[in-house]
Amino acid sequence: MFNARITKLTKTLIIAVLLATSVLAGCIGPRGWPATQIAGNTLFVATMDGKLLALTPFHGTTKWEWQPQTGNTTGISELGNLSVGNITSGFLSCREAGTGQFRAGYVYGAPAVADGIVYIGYYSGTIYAIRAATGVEVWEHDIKSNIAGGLAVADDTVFVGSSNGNLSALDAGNGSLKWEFSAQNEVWTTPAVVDGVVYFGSLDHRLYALNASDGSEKWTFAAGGGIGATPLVIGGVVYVGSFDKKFYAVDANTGAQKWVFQGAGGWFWGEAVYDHGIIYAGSLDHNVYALDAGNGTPAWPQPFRANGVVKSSPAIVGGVLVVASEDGKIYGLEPNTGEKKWEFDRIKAKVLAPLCAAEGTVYINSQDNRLYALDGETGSEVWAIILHK
Amino acid sequence: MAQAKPARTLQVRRLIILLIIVVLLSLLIARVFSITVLWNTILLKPMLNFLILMSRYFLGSFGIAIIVLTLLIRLLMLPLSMRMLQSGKTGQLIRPQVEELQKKYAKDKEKLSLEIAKLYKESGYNPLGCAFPMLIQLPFWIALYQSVVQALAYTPENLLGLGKQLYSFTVLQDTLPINSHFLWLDLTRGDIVMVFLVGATFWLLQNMYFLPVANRRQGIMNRILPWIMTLLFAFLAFTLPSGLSLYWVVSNIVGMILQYRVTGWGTLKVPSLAFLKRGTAQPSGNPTAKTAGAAAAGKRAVKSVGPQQSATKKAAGSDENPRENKVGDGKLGGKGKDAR
Repeated sequence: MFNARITKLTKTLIIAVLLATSVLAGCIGPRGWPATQIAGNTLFVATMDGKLLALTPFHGTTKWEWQPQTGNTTGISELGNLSVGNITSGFLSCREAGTGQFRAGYVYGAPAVADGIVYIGYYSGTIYAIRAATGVEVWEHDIKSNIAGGLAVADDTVFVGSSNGNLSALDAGNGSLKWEFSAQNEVWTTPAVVDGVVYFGSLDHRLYALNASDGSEKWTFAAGGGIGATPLVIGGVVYVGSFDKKFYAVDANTGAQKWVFQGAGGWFWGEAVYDHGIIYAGSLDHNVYALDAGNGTPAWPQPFRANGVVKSSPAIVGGVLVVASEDGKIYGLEPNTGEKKWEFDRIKAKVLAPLCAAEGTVYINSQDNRLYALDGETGSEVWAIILHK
Repeated sequence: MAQAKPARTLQVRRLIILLIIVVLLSLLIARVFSITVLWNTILLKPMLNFLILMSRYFLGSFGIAIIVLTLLIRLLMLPLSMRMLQSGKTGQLIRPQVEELQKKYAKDKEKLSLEIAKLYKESGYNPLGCAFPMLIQLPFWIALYQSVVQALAYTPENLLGLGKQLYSFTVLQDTLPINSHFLWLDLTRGDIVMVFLVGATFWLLQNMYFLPVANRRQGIMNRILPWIMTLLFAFLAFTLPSGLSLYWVVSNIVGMILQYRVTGWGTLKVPSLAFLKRGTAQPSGNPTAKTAGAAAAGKRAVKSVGPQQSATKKAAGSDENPRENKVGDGKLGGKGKDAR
């Protein structure tokens, strides 16, 4: 009996440890927050399982589908995590356990489209150029570090930030490296390129402005916290929120601070949008703020309070400001007052990716790998598709 | 009257614990808050913010912050750990008596259960007590794991989680991002050296826990179990961030010190270092101190044994010097039936 009790205890202990392990494993690793980009009459959508789809905007039907070939450098082997060679990954993941297949990769942000080529960067560090019309791969380039933001394309150059603190500029034609600039910490923002200057933030608390041609530093601006939001450049001013809960307006030429908004209670992460002299930005404090672009004073009597944190970037659709909270609720707001016009609550998953808007429709990627098209004016569902097959 | 007072205190304590559980369950059922909110508020947020704060003030090192937190957790759980270690030791010391009862009442299971329960009660042994210190640490492991992963923000998702869990003190915001390097370690990733350290400390700790036994089957199990635990935790160390491995290594070292004070080296075969034990004499020390210390240890281990309980008293007697119970020739204790 005594032995039986000890055996029972041992089993209990091992089961408890295994349960704890499964709990730990369940919340490990990246998943991505892929978004949608529209170019011409095609939607380019990155999916949670690493595919790139070209869809028609009207019905969401697939034109072509592309994904990195399994077994190449984009994947991290599920079973390979157990090898010493891959210990640097160091994390369990149960998402594709047992398949033994190479994972396609995770995508943060939207693909970039320019001159008939779609560019997409995977968390694993590989950037692909795909022909927009056919879905045929043109080139690939591995920057050897995690990519946790989107890409920007301008002047035949692809700009991408990475976890090793680099901002890399690649030749858009063949993917070769033109130059690299090193910040002091992760660059997880999507760069913004305006008038030959590339703007990006880093977790080292700085906003950088570089000459796009050679990567030389034009100026830096020190914020009080890390910068994960894509800078918005309008009329010679760079607007960006920070993890210090402040929202900054910085002169695009000199890097001098024009104004700062300090009324938020949480981090600013999503890119802000601009419409008719007002900047709209969501915060992790559940609020959406409307600020006068000239002086940073609140444009609404009070910020709009969403049901969850607002990570994804808002979008202006017609005369409606559309915002999404992390809990999957989508709100249509009156841009001048912040009053709610409609609410869409049929998304049963998180929404973290930036919203994409075109011709009265807003496209929303949810974390359960679905794409929703909503009418911007009414919030009614135009179509919704499951991106996972 | 004097006995009634502790019993009443115990009842009041139980009542308070029960009341807290009922209130918490009611609030959960009424959806005043969710388990996630409760978890985050009670464990994750304080631990995460404390770690970040510590990393700012301890040379900007997150590794030192983890070590400080580990020591604090072990300190908080010290009374419980000591009680459970004593209970575990008692359980192993009374095993001969249990086996004796098993033989005696082999055909009367009901009587056997009653007698064993009686023996447990008299010796103050709780069969669940041995696993309890480890089980109670599980929530801390999980919370620490989440804290390490979120604080070091290896992935954007972790950073997003961190953004939601931080208290709104400027000092915390200023500390981010946290330097993930400590000594040779990148605390966000698995490390092969830490795999060995975790495995070694778990193996040593498990072997210290078990006292040598005469029962062959039990002896085999006592030898196998440390290996199972060692391999399990080495695997976890291999796949989880080394920040968590650091917690395990420090926690195990503390555990080994505590274990040594209670059971000595257990099944480990090491040169005699008895003088390191509290209450035992130095190699050249006086014998009075050794006797007094050992007697005190024995008293702690089986404090509820009455003079009439001969079987338990034998166990208590054998507790005076655990090394004497360990028999190289396969005998347990000079006074147990098996030993005879």
